[in-house]
Amino acid sequence: MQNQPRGRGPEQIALQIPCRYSYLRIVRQAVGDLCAQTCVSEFKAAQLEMAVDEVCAELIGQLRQRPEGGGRSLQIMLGRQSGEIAVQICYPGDKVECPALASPPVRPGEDAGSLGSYVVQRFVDRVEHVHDPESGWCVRLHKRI
Amino acid sequence: MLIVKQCRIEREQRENLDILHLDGALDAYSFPRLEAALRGLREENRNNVILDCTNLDYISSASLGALIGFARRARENGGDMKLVKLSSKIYSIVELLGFHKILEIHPDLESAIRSFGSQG
Repeated sequence: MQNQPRGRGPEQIALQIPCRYSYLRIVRQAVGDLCAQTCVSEFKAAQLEMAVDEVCAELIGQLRQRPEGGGRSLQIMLGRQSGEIAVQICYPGDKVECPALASPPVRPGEDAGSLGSYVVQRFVDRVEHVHDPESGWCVRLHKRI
Repeated sequence: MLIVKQCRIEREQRENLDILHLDGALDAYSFPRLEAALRGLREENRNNVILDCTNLDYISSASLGALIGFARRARENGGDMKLVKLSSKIYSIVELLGFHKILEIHPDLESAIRSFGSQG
């Protein structure tokens, strides 16, 4: 288990966290650190932190409901590439139907339960939920900087 | 060893007003604490509430949703929930989501307290 950001050069961070909400703070810290290193504004960093937090919280919540869910982990890669920050969150097992990635998002105030979806799609420029042969299912968030 | 800073929610009662002092992050981990604090207020029919966000460093969408739900119910009962001293980072999120039009936000505790006085 790794619970601290591991440097992979100045603009890339890899994390592996257990499926527990208590580790969300570390993920947000890693996003904030990368954004600070790459001179992303405080406000864009806050948006990306929130979008990543929403996706991780949703995945943790759903994975923990599965058998052995609490023993699983999330693999998270953050990096800067060609004018954007990219965050990849990979998890084991079958695809999680992630309401935070539902489309189209509902505007806040209409349905508080759909706010996570609105946050993710409002605060990042591109969202993908894809299967990678090596990493399993991955949610990828891209934010232009 | 991982040291996780728990979000602290301290309740201060002043006559017909409650102030919740928040310290830390309101995320999925601390959400049950927020829910419990709001539930306690509802059960005691305390509808004039100020959220002191001086030491709040993060708020999730679920927590924002819970605050809005509480504020709506409080208004239906003649009260309100008001936020004070949001960091610029959190305010930017609240503003982008349009919640600054739903939740009353004050720069400091004194002005929030005064605003409750002027409501009565």
